[in-house]
Amino acid sequence: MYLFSLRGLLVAIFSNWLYPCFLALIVFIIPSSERPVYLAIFAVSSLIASLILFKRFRTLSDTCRTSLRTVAQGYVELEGTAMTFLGETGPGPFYLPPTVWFCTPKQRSVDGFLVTDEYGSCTVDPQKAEIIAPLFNRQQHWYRAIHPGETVYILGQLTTLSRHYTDTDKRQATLHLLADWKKDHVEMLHRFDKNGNGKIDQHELMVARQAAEVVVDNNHDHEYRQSASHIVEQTTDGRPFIISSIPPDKLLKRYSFWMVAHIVTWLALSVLALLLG
Amino acid sequence: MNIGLIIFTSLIVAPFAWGIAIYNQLVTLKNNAKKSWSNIDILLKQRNSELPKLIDTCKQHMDYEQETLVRVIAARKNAEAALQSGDIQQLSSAEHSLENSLINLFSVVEDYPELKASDAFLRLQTRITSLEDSISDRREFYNESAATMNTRREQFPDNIVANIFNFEAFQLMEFQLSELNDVSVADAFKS
Repeated sequence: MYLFSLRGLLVAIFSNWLYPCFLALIVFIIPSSERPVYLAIFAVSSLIASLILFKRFRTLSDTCRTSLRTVAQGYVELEGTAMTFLGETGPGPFYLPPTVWFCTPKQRSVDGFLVTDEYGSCTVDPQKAEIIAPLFNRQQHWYRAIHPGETVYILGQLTTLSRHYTDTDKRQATLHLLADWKKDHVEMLHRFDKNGNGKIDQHELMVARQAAEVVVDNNHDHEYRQSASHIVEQTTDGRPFIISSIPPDKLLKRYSFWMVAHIVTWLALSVLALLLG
Repeated sequence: MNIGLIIFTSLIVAPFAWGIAIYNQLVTLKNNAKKSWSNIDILLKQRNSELPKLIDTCKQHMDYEQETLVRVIAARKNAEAALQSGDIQQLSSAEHSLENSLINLFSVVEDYPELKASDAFLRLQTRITSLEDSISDRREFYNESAATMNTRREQFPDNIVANIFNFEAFQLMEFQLSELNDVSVADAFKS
């Protein structure tokens, strides 16, 4: 897991076997007279851990999934295939296979990449994201990476950039297009002079205007479905921005297991501290 | 250091801390549901603004279908009023009537080959069908958000916090039985 935030760091520590091993080691090496105090402190830290994991568990389980067909705006879960931008090879040192994102002990990729599903694609800005990806080893180099073609799950703020489209914008675009059409009088007559009198009368002009409006709308729809129009990034309200190549079901199981484990640890250590103290 | 005091304090603080975490989560869910409603709202407005153009285009060719057109106009008006009132149940029913009236309209288009072949009509057809699809997708998303909120406020221990702070349930946009039988505006166009 690549840890960007303190919250991400705490979640990683508290949902890992290293934490109980560390606790056991400390309890084992400290003198028995000081043990109850340490046990009480560890009990409190387990309570805090369970709260942190509860929040993470709820965030993951309660965020609704959208697709690039729906493109629901706001804080959403998105599933798709990771891809580099067209014509790009992806970031990374020479010893790495092609990646869309990587993290080595010395370097971390900040380049954006694409996530696609059957309906479209979306730009992902991995800066400030908490990235959950497996650890790999290649030519004696350890690294974490997301590879092209891998399925990724994203929790973040989905925004469509070209969403703002006012009536004035549309009217202007329609008038502009109509003016362009009028330049080619023969084509204009061919398309809209339905009564064949060699003129575009008021009624035919209205039909032409409607046709121009529809073309403007369709162009807008086309732009709306382009990858650059949708972006997933960090929220401004402090909710976590997570990019994971591990399925959310597995993460939920992991977090719920550790949440329960920490509650049990809190109660057990509290009782033990009172008995020994 | 008094161990008993540490343990006692943690026992007192724990329920409050969990209560605050649950409260914050319920607030987040409420805001998510509101946000997903605004996702639909914007598309319904767009679709409603396209319908008069469709009716105008149809009027130019359909001389004997005034009743069908009047029904679409009335259904659109009801849908617009329901949208402004914010009553989701009323809106669900108004949307259903509008969809039915559109299906009727598109089925009679078959009798007007000139209209069926017109560029303006075909483009409006594509535009409205695409908006209807998006509305349907976002309605599912809204229902999912609202159902998550409603489930949480009924589950223990969230229901305690939800009752204390009066978190209200969100109404779902119900699917009519006929909608489950694969009846759609897109199909009506194809017929």
